[in-house]
Amino acid sequence: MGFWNVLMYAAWGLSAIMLAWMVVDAFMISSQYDEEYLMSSREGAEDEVAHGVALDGEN
Amino acid sequence: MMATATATSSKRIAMLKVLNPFHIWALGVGIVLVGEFMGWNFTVGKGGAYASLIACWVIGLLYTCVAMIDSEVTSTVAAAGGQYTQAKHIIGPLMAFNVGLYLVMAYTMLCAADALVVGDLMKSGAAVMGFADLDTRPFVVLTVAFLAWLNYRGVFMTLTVNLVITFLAFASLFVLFLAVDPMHQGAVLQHKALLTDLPYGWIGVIASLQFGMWYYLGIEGTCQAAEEVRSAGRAIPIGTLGGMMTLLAAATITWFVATGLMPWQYLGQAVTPMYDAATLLGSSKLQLMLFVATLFAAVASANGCINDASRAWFSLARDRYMPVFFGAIHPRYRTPYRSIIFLVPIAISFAFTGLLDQVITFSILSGLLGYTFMTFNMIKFRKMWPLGSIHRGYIHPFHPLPAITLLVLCCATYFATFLGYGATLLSIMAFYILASLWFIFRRYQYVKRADQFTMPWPRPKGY
Repeated sequence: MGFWNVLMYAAWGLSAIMLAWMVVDAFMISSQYDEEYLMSSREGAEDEVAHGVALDGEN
Repeated sequence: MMATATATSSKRIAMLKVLNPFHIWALGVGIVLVGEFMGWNFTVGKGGAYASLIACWVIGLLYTCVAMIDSEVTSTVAAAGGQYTQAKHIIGPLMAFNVGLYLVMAYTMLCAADALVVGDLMKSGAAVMGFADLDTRPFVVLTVAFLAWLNYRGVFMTLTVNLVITFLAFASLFVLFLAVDPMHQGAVLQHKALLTDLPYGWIGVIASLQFGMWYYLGIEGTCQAAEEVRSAGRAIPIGTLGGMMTLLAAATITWFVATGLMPWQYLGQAVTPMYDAATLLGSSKLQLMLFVATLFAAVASANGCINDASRAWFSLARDRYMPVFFGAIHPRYRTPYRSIIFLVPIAISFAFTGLLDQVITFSILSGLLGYTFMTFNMIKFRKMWPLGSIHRGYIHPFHPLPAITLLVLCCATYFATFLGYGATLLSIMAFYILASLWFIFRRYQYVKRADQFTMPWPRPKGY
Protein backbone atom coordinates (compact mmCIF):
# COMPACT_ATOMS: atom_id res chain seq x y z
CA MET A 1 0.00 0.00 0.00
CA GLY A 2 1.56 3.29 -1.14
CA PHE A 3 1.89 6.59 0.71
CA TRP A 4 -1.17 8.18 -0.92
CA ASN A 5 -3.39 5.20 -0.13
CA VAL A 6 -2.30 5.37 3.51
CA LEU A 7 -2.99 9.11 3.49
CA MET A 8 -6.52 8.55 2.17
CA TYR A 9 -7.29 5.99 4.87
CA ALA A 10 -5.78 8.28 7.49
CA ALA A 11 -8.03 11.13 6.28
CA TRP A 12 -11.14 8.93 6.53
CA GLY A 13 -10.06 7.74 10.00
CA LEU A 14 -9.29 11.20 11.37
CA SER A 15 -12.56 12.55 10.02
CA ALA A 16 -14.52 9.76 11.67
CA ILE A 17 -12.75 10.30 15.01
CA MET A 18 -13.40 14.05 15.05
CA LEU A 19 -17.03 13.75 13.97
CA ALA A 20 -17.67 10.99 16.51
CA TRP A 21 -15.97 13.05 19.25
CA MET A 22 -18.28 16.00 18.60
CA VAL A 23 -21.44 13.88 18.56
CA VAL A 24 -20.48 12.03 21.77
CA ASP A 25 -19.55 15.27 23.51
CA ALA A 26 -22.85 16.85 22.45
CA PHE A 27 -24.79 13.92 23.94
CA MET A 28 -22.77 14.11 27.16
CA ILE A 29 -23.44 17.82 27.49
CA SER A 30 -27.16 17.24 26.96
CA SER A 31 -27.18 14.65 29.72
CA GLN A 32 -25.18 16.77 32.17
CA TYR A 33 -26.86 20.17 31.79
CA ASP A 34 -30.39 21.46 31.90
CA GLU A 35 -31.78 22.19 28.42
CA GLU A 36 -33.21 25.48 29.64
CA TYR A 37 -29.73 26.60 30.69
CA LEU A 38 -28.10 25.53 27.40
CA MET A 39 -30.64 27.57 25.45
CA SER A 40 -30.81 30.54 27.81
CA SER A 41 -28.64 32.99 25.85
CA ARG A 42 -30.15 36.31 24.82
CA GLU A 43 -28.87 38.77 22.25
CA GLY A 44 -27.27 41.81 23.79
CA ALA A 45 -26.93 40.12 27.18
CA GLU A 46 -23.76 40.65 29.23
CA ASP A 47 -22.53 43.35 26.89
CA GLU A 48 -20.14 45.40 28.94
CA VAL A 49 -19.98 48.24 26.41
CA ALA A 50 -23.01 50.46 26.07
CA HIS A 51 -23.45 50.12 22.31
CA GLY A 52 -26.95 50.50 21.02
CA VAL A 53 -28.44 52.04 24.16
CA ALA A 54 -30.27 55.33 24.14
CA LEU A 55 -28.15 58.44 24.52
CA ASP A 56 -28.80 60.86 27.37
CA GLY A 57 -31.93 62.87 26.97
CA GLU A 58 -33.48 60.54 24.42
CA ASN A 59 -36.47 58.29 24.82
CA MET B 1 -24.82 15.79 37.50
CA MET B 2 -28.08 17.02 38.96
CA ALA B 3 -26.12 19.50 41.04
CA THR B 4 -24.75 21.00 37.83
CA ALA B 5 -28.22 21.34 36.40
CA THR B 6 -29.60 22.92 39.57
CA ALA B 7 -26.69 25.31 39.95
CA THR B 8 -27.00 26.57 36.40
CA SER B 9 -30.77 26.80 36.13
CA SER B 10 -30.93 30.33 37.50
CA LYS B 11 -28.10 31.68 35.30
CA ARG B 12 -27.96 32.54 31.63
CA ILE B 13 -25.30 31.22 29.29
CA ALA B 14 -23.57 33.47 26.75
CA MET B 15 -20.90 33.23 24.09
CA LEU B 16 -17.42 34.36 25.15
CA LYS B 17 -16.38 37.91 24.31
CA VAL B 18 -12.76 37.24 23.43
CA LEU B 19 -12.20 38.52 19.90
CA ASN B 20 -10.35 41.67 18.82
CA PRO B 21 -10.21 43.62 15.51
CA PHE B 22 -7.47 41.32 14.13
CA HIS B 23 -9.77 38.32 14.50
CA ILE B 24 -12.51 40.23 12.71
CA TRP B 25 -10.08 41.06 9.89
CA ALA B 26 -9.09 37.38 9.72
CA LEU B 27 -12.72 36.27 9.61
CA GLY B 28 -13.64 38.64 6.78
CA VAL B 29 -10.49 38.44 4.67
CA GLY B 30 -10.11 34.72 5.41
CA ILE B 31 -13.48 33.89 3.86
CA VAL B 32 -12.76 35.99 0.76
CA LEU B 33 -9.09 35.54 -0.05
CA VAL B 34 -9.48 32.22 -1.87
CA GLY B 35 -11.30 34.27 -4.52
CA GLU B 36 -8.02 36.04 -5.36
CA PHE B 37 -6.34 32.69 -6.00
CA MET B 38 -9.10 31.31 -8.22
CA GLY B 39 -12.49 32.30 -9.56
CA TRP B 40 -11.91 36.05 -10.09
CA ASN B 41 -10.33 35.26 -13.46
CA PHE B 42 -13.70 34.16 -14.93
CA THR B 43 -14.35 37.92 -15.21
CA VAL B 44 -11.56 37.93 -17.81
CA GLY B 45 -13.31 35.17 -19.76
CA LYS B 46 -16.56 37.18 -19.76
CA GLY B 47 -15.19 40.47 -21.02
CA GLY B 48 -11.40 40.55 -21.31
CA ALA B 49 -8.68 41.89 -19.02
CA TYR B 50 -9.91 45.50 -18.84
CA ALA B 51 -13.47 44.32 -18.09
CA SER B 52 -12.02 42.34 -15.20
CA LEU B 53 -10.34 45.46 -13.82
CA ILE B 54 -13.57 47.45 -14.14
CA ALA B 55 -15.47 44.64 -12.39
CA CYS B 56 -12.80 44.55 -9.68
CA TRP B 57 -13.32 48.22 -8.84
CA VAL B 58 -17.07 48.47 -9.49
CA ILE B 59 -17.80 45.44 -7.33
CA GLY B 60 -15.20 46.82 -4.91
CA LEU B 61 -17.45 49.88 -4.63
CA LEU B 62 -20.47 47.61 -4.01
CA TYR B 63 -18.67 45.85 -1.18
CA THR B 64 -17.31 49.10 0.25
CA CYS B 65 -20.95 50.21 0.61
CA VAL B 66 -21.77 46.84 2.21
CA ALA B 67 -18.84 47.18 4.63
CA MET B 68 -19.76 50.75 5.62
CA ILE B 69 -23.45 49.96 6.17
CA ASP B 70 -22.65 46.77 8.07
CA SER B 71 -20.12 48.57 10.24
CA GLU B 72 -22.60 51.23 11.29
CA VAL B 73 -25.55 48.96 12.02
CA THR B 74 -23.55 46.17 13.65
CA SER B 75 -21.74 48.66 15.87
CA THR B 76 -25.14 49.11 17.55
CA VAL B 77 -26.23 45.44 17.52
CA ALA B 78 -23.78 43.38 19.54
CA ALA B 79 -25.49 40.14 18.57
CA ALA B 80 -24.72 37.10 16.44
CA GLY B 81 -26.69 36.75 13.24
CA GLY B 82 -25.28 39.83 11.49
CA GLN B 83 -27.59 40.97 8.71
CA TYR B 84 -30.35 38.66 9.98
CA THR B 85 -30.39 40.49 13.31
CA GLN B 86 -30.29 43.85 11.55
CA ALA B 87 -33.30 42.92 9.39
CA LYS B 88 -35.22 41.58 12.40
CA HIS B 89 -34.85 44.80 14.36
CA ILE B 90 -35.31 47.21 11.48
CA ILE B 91 -37.78 45.65 9.02
CA GLY B 92 -39.53 42.59 10.41
CA PRO B 93 -39.72 38.80 10.72
CA LEU B 94 -40.23 37.79 7.07
CA MET B 95 -37.24 39.74 5.78
CA ALA B 96 -35.19 38.55 8.76
CA PHE B 97 -36.06 34.91 8.03
CA ASN B 98 -35.09 35.33 4.38
CA VAL B 99 -31.82 37.10 5.18
CA GLY B 100 -30.99 34.45 7.80
CA LEU B 101 -31.62 31.71 5.27
CA TYR B 102 -29.50 33.51 2.64
CA LEU B 103 -26.64 33.66 5.14
CA VAL B 104 -26.84 29.99 6.08
CA MET B 105 -27.07 28.86 2.46
CA ALA B 106 -24.35 31.24 1.21
CA TYR B 107 -21.79 30.22 3.84
CA THR B 108 -22.62 26.51 3.86
CA MET B 109 -22.31 26.32 0.07
CA LEU B 110 -19.14 28.39 0.07
CA CYS B 111 -17.71 26.01 2.69
CA ALA B 112 -18.60 23.06 0.43
CA ALA B 113 -16.91 24.76 -2.52
CA ASP B 114 -13.78 25.45 -0.45
CA ALA B 115 -13.60 21.82 0.67
CA LEU B 116 -13.91 20.77 -2.99
CA VAL B 117 -10.99 23.07 -3.81
CA VAL B 118 -8.87 21.48 -1.05
CA GLY B 119 -9.67 18.03 -2.46
CA ASP B 120 -8.77 19.13 -6.00
CA LEU B 121 -5.50 20.66 -4.78
CA MET B 122 -4.57 17.42 -3.04
CA LYS B 123 -5.30 15.55 -6.26
CA SER B 124 -3.12 17.97 -8.25
CA GLY B 125 -0.30 17.63 -5.71
CA ALA B 126 -0.53 13.83 -5.85
CA ALA B 127 -0.51 13.91 -9.66
CA VAL B 128 2.67 16.02 -9.67
CA MET B 129 4.26 13.44 -7.34
CA GLY B 130 3.27 10.55 -9.61
CA PHE B 131 -0.06 9.36 -8.12
CA ALA B 132 -2.66 9.99 -10.79
CA ASP B 133 -6.02 8.89 -9.37
CA LEU B 134 -6.28 10.26 -5.87
CA ASP B 135 -9.78 10.04 -4.40
CA THR B 136 -10.62 13.59 -3.29
CA ARG B 137 -13.53 12.60 -1.00
CA PRO B 138 -11.54 11.77 2.17
CA PHE B 139 -9.80 15.16 1.99
CA VAL B 140 -13.09 16.99 1.42
CA VAL B 141 -14.58 15.28 4.49
CA LEU B 142 -11.42 15.81 6.54
CA THR B 143 -11.44 19.55 5.74
CA VAL B 144 -15.03 19.98 6.90
CA ALA B 145 -14.65 17.64 9.91
CA PHE B 146 -11.43 19.23 11.18
CA LEU B 147 -12.70 22.79 10.81
CA ALA B 148 -16.03 21.92 12.42
CA TRP B 149 -14.11 20.34 15.31
CA LEU B 150 -11.98 23.48 15.62
CA ASN B 151 -15.08 25.68 15.60
CA TYR B 152 -16.75 23.42 18.14
CA ARG B 153 -13.80 23.80 20.56
CA GLY B 154 -13.86 27.59 20.70
CA VAL B 155 -13.96 30.75 18.65
CA PHE B 156 -10.66 32.23 19.85
CA MET B 157 -8.47 29.39 18.57
CA THR B 158 -10.58 29.08 15.40
CA LEU B 159 -10.06 32.68 14.38
CA THR B 160 -6.45 32.79 15.59
CA VAL B 161 -5.70 29.93 13.17
CA ASN B 162 -7.53 31.93 10.49
CA LEU B 163 -5.43 34.98 11.29
CA VAL B 164 -2.17 33.11 10.78
CA ILE B 165 -3.05 31.25 7.57
CA THR B 166 -4.87 34.23 6.04
CA PHE B 167 -1.89 36.49 6.68
CA LEU B 168 0.48 33.94 5.10
CA ALA B 169 -1.76 33.55 2.04
CA PHE B 170 -2.04 37.33 1.68
CA ALA B 171 1.75 37.73 2.06
CA SER B 172 2.31 35.21 -0.75
CA LEU B 173 0.45 37.51 -3.16
CA PHE B 174 2.84 40.32 -2.25
CA VAL B 175 5.86 38.05 -2.72
CA LEU B 176 4.54 37.13 -6.17
CA PHE B 177 4.02 40.83 -6.92
CA LEU B 178 7.61 41.62 -5.99
CA ALA B 179 8.89 38.62 -7.98
CA VAL B 180 7.51 40.00 -11.27
CA ASP B 181 9.59 43.19 -10.94
CA PRO B 182 6.55 45.49 -11.15
CA MET B 183 8.54 48.73 -11.55
CA HIS B 184 10.11 47.64 -14.85
CA GLN B 185 7.42 47.01 -17.44
CA GLY B 186 8.63 44.56 -20.08
CA ALA B 187 11.23 42.86 -17.89
CA VAL B 188 8.77 40.18 -16.77
CA LEU B 189 5.31 41.65 -17.19
CA GLN B 190 4.03 42.11 -20.75
CA HIS B 191 0.97 44.29 -20.33
CA LYS B 192 1.63 46.23 -23.54
CA ALA B 193 1.47 43.06 -25.60
CA LEU B 194 -1.21 41.21 -23.65
CA LEU B 195 -3.81 43.88 -22.86
CA THR B 196 -6.36 44.20 -25.66
CA ASP B 197 -9.53 46.21 -26.19
CA LEU B 198 -12.81 44.88 -24.79
CA PRO B 199 -13.35 41.69 -26.86
CA TYR B 200 -17.12 41.59 -26.26
CA GLY B 201 -17.71 45.31 -25.83
CA TRP B 202 -19.49 46.85 -22.84
CA ILE B 203 -21.95 43.95 -22.52
CA GLY B 204 -18.90 41.86 -21.63
CA VAL B 205 -18.10 44.34 -18.87
CA ILE B 206 -21.63 43.98 -17.46
CA ALA B 207 -21.41 40.17 -17.73
CA SER B 208 -18.13 40.18 -15.81
CA LEU B 209 -19.76 41.83 -12.77
CA GLN B 210 -21.15 38.49 -11.57
CA PHE B 211 -17.73 36.89 -11.23
CA GLY B 212 -16.31 40.16 -9.92
CA MET B 213 -17.99 39.22 -6.65
CA TRP B 214 -15.35 36.52 -6.18
CA TYR B 215 -12.89 39.27 -5.32
CA TYR B 216 -14.84 40.18 -2.16
CA LEU B 217 -17.67 37.67 -1.45
CA GLY B 218 -17.89 37.03 2.27
CA ILE B 219 -16.37 40.20 3.79
CA GLU B 220 -19.81 40.95 5.25
CA GLY B 221 -19.39 37.83 7.40
CA THR B 222 -17.49 39.88 9.97
CA CYS B 223 -20.85 40.88 11.50
CA GLN B 224 -21.51 37.32 12.65
CA ALA B 225 -18.84 37.73 15.32
CA ALA B 226 -20.53 40.76 16.91
CA GLU B 227 -21.60 38.79 20.00
CA GLU B 228 -18.09 37.43 20.57
CA VAL B 229 -15.94 40.57 20.25
CA ARG B 230 -14.79 42.50 23.28
CA SER B 231 -16.20 45.71 21.80
CA ALA B 232 -18.57 45.49 18.83
CA GLY B 233 -18.55 49.27 18.39
CA ARG B 234 -14.79 49.29 17.86
CA ALA B 235 -13.77 45.87 16.53
CA ILE B 236 -16.42 45.39 13.83
CA PRO B 237 -15.79 48.69 11.97
CA ILE B 238 -11.98 48.43 12.27
CA GLY B 239 -11.88 44.76 11.23
CA THR B 240 -14.43 45.10 8.42
CA LEU B 241 -13.14 48.32 6.85
CA GLY B 242 -9.50 47.22 7.32
CA GLY B 243 -10.40 43.94 5.63
CA MET B 244 -12.05 45.78 2.75
CA MET B 245 -8.93 47.89 2.18
CA THR B 246 -6.80 44.73 2.26
CA LEU B 247 -9.02 43.07 -0.33
CA LEU B 248 -9.03 46.09 -2.66
CA ALA B 249 -5.21 46.03 -2.63
CA ALA B 250 -5.03 42.24 -3.03
CA ALA B 251 -7.56 42.22 -5.90
CA THR B 252 -5.71 44.93 -7.81
CA ILE B 253 -2.33 43.22 -7.32
CA THR B 254 -3.81 39.90 -8.41
CA TRP B 255 -5.20 41.40 -11.61
CA PHE B 256 -1.97 43.28 -12.34
CA VAL B 257 0.29 40.24 -12.01
CA ALA B 258 -1.93 37.73 -13.81
CA THR B 259 -2.86 39.91 -16.78
CA GLY B 260 0.79 40.82 -17.30
CA LEU B 261 1.80 37.16 -17.60
CA MET B 262 -1.06 35.39 -19.38
CA PRO B 263 -3.23 36.20 -22.42
CA TRP B 264 -6.90 36.82 -21.59
CA GLN B 265 -8.04 33.79 -23.61
CA TYR B 266 -6.08 31.46 -21.29
CA LEU B 267 -6.57 33.42 -18.08
CA GLY B 268 -10.36 33.50 -18.55
CA GLN B 269 -10.68 29.75 -18.11
CA ALA B 270 -7.71 28.88 -15.85
CA VAL B 271 -8.53 26.87 -12.71
CA THR B 272 -5.63 28.12 -10.56
CA PRO B 273 -4.39 31.34 -12.23
CA MET B 274 -2.01 32.46 -9.50
CA TYR B 275 -0.34 29.05 -9.33
CA ASP B 276 -0.05 29.19 -13.13
CA ALA B 277 1.55 32.64 -12.81
CA ALA B 278 4.17 31.23 -10.43
CA THR B 279 4.77 28.33 -12.83
CA LEU B 280 5.39 30.75 -15.70
CA LEU B 281 8.08 32.49 -13.64
CA GLY B 282 10.00 29.19 -13.59
CA SER B 283 10.70 29.14 -9.87
CA SER B 284 9.88 25.91 -8.06
CA LYS B 285 9.97 27.79 -4.73
CA LEU B 286 7.33 30.24 -5.93
CA GLN B 287 5.27 27.34 -7.28
CA LEU B 288 5.37 25.58 -3.93
CA MET B 289 4.57 28.82 -2.09
CA LEU B 290 1.51 29.50 -4.28
CA PHE B 291 0.34 25.90 -3.94
CA VAL B 292 0.49 26.12 -0.14
CA ALA B 293 -1.01 29.63 -0.12
CA THR B 294 -3.97 28.48 -2.26
CA LEU B 295 -4.50 25.59 0.15
CA PHE B 296 -4.33 27.96 3.15
CA ALA B 297 -6.76 30.38 1.51
CA ALA B 298 -9.29 27.60 0.83
CA VAL B 299 -8.99 26.28 4.40
CA ALA B 300 -9.32 29.78 5.89
CA SER B 301 -12.40 30.41 3.80
CA ALA B 302 -14.05 27.12 4.83
CA ASN B 303 -13.16 27.85 8.45
CA GLY B 304 -14.77 31.30 8.39
CA CYS B 305 -17.82 29.92 6.58
CA ILE B 306 -18.44 27.27 9.26
CA ASN B 307 -18.13 30.00 11.89
CA ASP B 308 -20.59 32.30 10.12
CA ALA B 309 -23.14 29.69 8.97
CA SER B 310 -23.36 28.25 12.47
CA ARG B 311 -23.89 31.72 14.05
CA ALA B 312 -26.62 32.54 11.53
CA TRP B 313 -28.37 29.19 12.12
CA PHE B 314 -27.96 29.61 15.89
CA SER B 315 -29.54 33.08 15.77
CA LEU B 316 -32.50 31.83 13.73
CA ALA B 317 -33.00 29.02 16.27
CA ARG B 318 -32.60 31.27 19.32
CA ASP B 319 -35.51 33.36 18.04
CA ARG B 320 -37.45 30.14 17.18
CA TYR B 321 -37.43 30.91 13.46
CA MET B 322 -35.88 27.43 13.29
CA PRO B 323 -36.14 24.64 15.92
CA VAL B 324 -34.99 26.10 19.23
CA PHE B 325 -32.89 22.96 19.86
CA PHE B 326 -30.16 24.53 17.68
CA GLY B 327 -30.05 27.65 19.87
CA ALA B 328 -27.94 25.92 22.52
CA ILE B 329 -24.48 27.10 23.61
CA HIS B 330 -21.78 24.71 24.81
CA PRO B 331 -21.23 25.35 28.54
CA ARG B 332 -17.46 24.78 28.34
CA TYR B 333 -16.46 26.06 24.90
CA ARG B 334 -19.25 28.67 24.63
CA THR B 335 -19.91 27.91 20.98
CA PRO B 336 -23.23 27.15 19.19
CA TYR B 337 -22.22 23.50 19.09
CA ARG B 338 -25.47 21.95 17.88
CA SER B 339 -25.61 24.33 14.92
CA ILE B 340 -22.00 23.49 14.04
CA ILE B 341 -22.69 19.73 14.07
CA PHE B 342 -25.96 20.13 12.16
CA LEU B 343 -24.32 21.96 9.24
CA VAL B 344 -21.49 19.41 8.78
CA PRO B 345 -23.48 16.77 6.84
CA ILE B 346 -25.14 19.50 4.77
CA ALA B 347 -21.78 20.99 3.72
CA ILE B 348 -20.39 17.54 2.92
CA SER B 349 -23.49 16.66 0.89
CA PHE B 350 -23.16 19.81 -1.21
CA ALA B 351 -19.46 19.10 -1.68
CA PHE B 352 -20.10 15.51 -2.81
CA THR B 353 -22.27 16.75 -5.66
CA GLY B 354 -19.03 18.05 -7.19
CA LEU B 355 -20.96 20.86 -8.90
CA LEU B 356 -18.53 23.64 -7.98
CA ASP B 357 -19.90 26.32 -10.32
CA GLN B 358 -23.56 25.68 -9.39
CA VAL B 359 -22.72 25.64 -5.68
CA ILE B 360 -20.80 28.90 -6.01
CA THR B 361 -23.57 30.53 -8.07
CA PHE B 362 -26.12 29.65 -5.37
CA SER B 363 -23.78 31.14 -2.79
CA ILE B 364 -23.21 34.35 -4.79
CA LEU B 365 -26.92 34.87 -5.43
CA SER B 366 -27.81 34.29 -1.80
CA GLY B 367 -25.23 36.92 -0.85
CA LEU B 368 -26.56 39.32 -3.47
CA LEU B 369 -30.13 39.01 -2.20
CA GLY B 370 -28.85 39.86 1.27
CA TYR B 371 -27.01 42.97 0.02
CA THR B 372 -30.16 44.16 -1.78
CA PHE B 373 -32.19 43.99 1.43
CA MET B 374 -29.43 45.85 3.30
CA THR B 375 -30.20 49.00 1.32
CA PHE B 376 -33.79 49.10 2.64
CA ASN B 377 -32.53 48.24 6.13
CA MET B 378 -30.11 51.15 6.12
CA ILE B 379 -32.63 53.76 4.92
CA LYS B 380 -35.15 52.63 7.54
CA PHE B 381 -32.51 52.38 10.27
CA ARG B 382 -31.54 56.04 9.91
CA LYS B 383 -35.25 57.03 9.89
CA MET B 384 -36.17 54.98 12.95
CA TRP B 385 -33.04 55.76 14.95
CA PRO B 386 -31.62 59.08 13.61
CA LEU B 387 -28.08 60.19 14.46
CA GLY B 388 -27.95 61.26 18.09
CA SER B 389 -30.73 58.95 19.25
CA ILE B 390 -28.60 55.85 19.71
CA HIS B 391 -24.92 55.17 20.37
CA ARG B 392 -23.10 54.19 17.18
CA GLY B 393 -19.54 52.89 17.19
CA TYR B 394 -19.19 54.07 13.58
CA ILE B 395 -21.21 56.45 11.39
CA HIS B 396 -20.84 55.96 7.65
CA PRO B 397 -20.55 59.12 5.54
CA PHE B 398 -22.73 60.51 2.73
CA HIS B 399 -25.94 58.71 3.72
CA PRO B 400 -28.07 57.77 1.70
CA LEU B 401 -25.60 57.72 -1.21
CA PRO B 402 -23.94 54.38 -0.23
CA ALA B 403 -27.34 52.67 0.15
CA ILE B 404 -28.54 53.96 -3.25
CA THR B 405 -25.22 53.02 -4.90
CA LEU B 406 -25.47 49.56 -3.39
CA LEU B 407 -29.00 49.06 -4.76
CA VAL B 408 -28.01 50.20 -8.27
CA LEU B 409 -24.94 47.94 -8.34
CA CYS B 410 -26.95 44.98 -7.02
CA CYS B 411 -29.46 45.45 -9.88
CA ALA B 412 -26.61 45.55 -12.42
CA THR B 413 -25.17 42.33 -10.94
CA TYR B 414 -28.60 40.61 -11.08
CA PHE B 415 -28.70 41.46 -14.78
CA ALA B 416 -25.16 40.10 -15.23
CA THR B 417 -26.16 36.88 -13.45
CA PHE B 418 -29.28 36.58 -15.58
CA LEU B 419 -27.08 36.74 -18.71
CA GLY B 420 -24.98 33.78 -17.58
CA TYR B 421 -27.14 31.79 -15.16
CA GLY B 422 -30.76 32.83 -15.87
CA ALA B 423 -32.30 29.45 -15.03
CA THR B 424 -30.28 29.17 -11.80
CA LEU B 425 -31.30 32.71 -10.78
CA LEU B 426 -35.00 31.97 -11.28
CA SER B 427 -34.84 28.60 -9.49
CA ILE B 428 -33.08 30.17 -6.50
CA MET B 429 -35.73 32.90 -6.36
CA ALA B 430 -38.43 30.18 -6.43
CA PHE B 431 -36.68 28.32 -3.59
CA TYR B 432 -36.66 31.38 -1.35
CA ILE B 433 -40.31 32.22 -2.18
CA LEU B 434 -41.36 28.69 -1.17
CA ALA B 435 -39.28 28.94 2.02
CA SER B 436 -41.00 32.26 2.81
CA LEU B 437 -44.44 30.68 2.38
CA TRP B 438 -43.42 27.85 4.73
CA PHE B 439 -42.25 30.42 7.28
CA ILE B 440 -45.48 32.46 7.12
CA PHE B 441 -47.95 29.58 7.20
CA ARG B 442 -46.12 26.96 9.27
CA ARG B 443 -43.20 28.29 11.28
CA TYR B 444 -44.06 31.77 12.52
CA GLN B 445 -46.72 30.41 14.91
CA TYR B 446 -43.90 29.01 17.08
CA VAL B 447 -42.06 32.33 17.38
CA LYS B 448 -42.36 34.07 20.74
CA ARG B 449 -42.62 37.55 19.32
CA ALA B 450 -41.57 39.58 22.35
CA ASP B 451 -38.59 37.30 23.11
CA GLN B 452 -36.91 38.24 19.83
CA PHE B 453 -36.14 41.75 20.98
CA THR B 454 -33.92 41.80 24.05
CA MET B 455 -31.45 44.49 22.92
CA PRO B 456 -31.46 47.59 25.14
CA TRP B 457 -32.43 49.85 22.24
CA PRO B 458 -34.58 52.95 22.68
CA ARG B 459 -38.07 53.09 21.17
CA PRO B 460 -37.77 53.97 17.46
CA LYS B 461 -38.84 57.38 16.24
CA GLY B 462 -42.54 57.47 15.36
CA TYR B 463 -43.47 54.36 17.41
